[in-house]
Amino acid sequence: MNVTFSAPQLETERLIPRAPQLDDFDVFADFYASPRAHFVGGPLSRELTWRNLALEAGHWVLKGFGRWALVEKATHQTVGIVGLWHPEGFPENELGWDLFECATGKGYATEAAKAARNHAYNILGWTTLISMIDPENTPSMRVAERLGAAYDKDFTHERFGMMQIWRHPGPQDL
Amino acid sequence: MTKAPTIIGKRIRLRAHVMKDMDAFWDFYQSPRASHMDVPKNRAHLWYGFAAEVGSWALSGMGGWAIETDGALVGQVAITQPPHFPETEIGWILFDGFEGLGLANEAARLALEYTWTEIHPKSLVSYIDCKNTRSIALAKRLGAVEDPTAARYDDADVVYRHPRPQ
Repeated sequence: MNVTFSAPQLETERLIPRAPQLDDFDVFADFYASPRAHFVGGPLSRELTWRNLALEAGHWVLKGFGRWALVEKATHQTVGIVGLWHPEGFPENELGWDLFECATGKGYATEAAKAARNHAYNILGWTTLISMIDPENTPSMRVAERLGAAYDKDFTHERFGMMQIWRHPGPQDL
Repeated sequence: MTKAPTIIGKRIRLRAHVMKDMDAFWDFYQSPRASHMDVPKNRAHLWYGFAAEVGSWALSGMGGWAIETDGALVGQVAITQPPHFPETEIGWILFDGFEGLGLANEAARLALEYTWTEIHPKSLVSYIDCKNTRSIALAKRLGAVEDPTAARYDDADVVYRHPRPQ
């Protein structure tokens, strides 16, 4: 007997967001081994990458929401992971985005994050969202700005150290 | 996505983990019973391991079950093979106050039956810290036999190989 549930359907112009799955492991491992993962706890071994991919799925099961792996419509490649996140140690519900190599500079993070934020506000009924950003991760701050978010305050995470909290406009301000 | 299936035994029930199970794991890792294990440094760290054991079901059709008896969470049994494990593993944890009752034995037998009929691993072992005598005793009671030549990711572990049912 298998007990299953699925991540809700989201669609954007150029991306197909879907639940993370085992096929994503190799692109995840490449990302987490690369310097790009420096701002999100990397670089990581394959062992720890496995745990990260598994906990993306586990977050959906435990919390009923999570992050979507992004499949690029044009190439059918998994190009990143974006969505709603509230693991132990985070102060509030977060909107997070990680884009893999070769997928940056195309506005994918903004496109997917908008869809995830709309889902949070319109379907889940949330009233606010933050994004936690490493103080040196300026490309991620530009994405936050494009989404209309603004720096709110600093937060010290048990594992990642000092992070900036950026707060998104609420549903009434969009 | 797949969740852990519920399996009903005589005295216990294996079920999918829920969020509040994490509190019991946190208490367990603070206790001397966890001295043979890699203890997470904080709750954020624990979350990573816990959520991964849940999400493992979605990725690979195996992972961790909560062991429950009379509504109480008494431990965990898990079938996993992260990339650094040479073979598929069955592991178990029993929380303080529930040892000595045969509950881990019953949980492991239910998990073993499910594993051989539904997961079909090439082989199945338990990686156990060589000083963890009670866990080694359980592996033996389950019919597992030490395999001194088996590859392992931690040199402090002994490897017990579980026989495939005839």
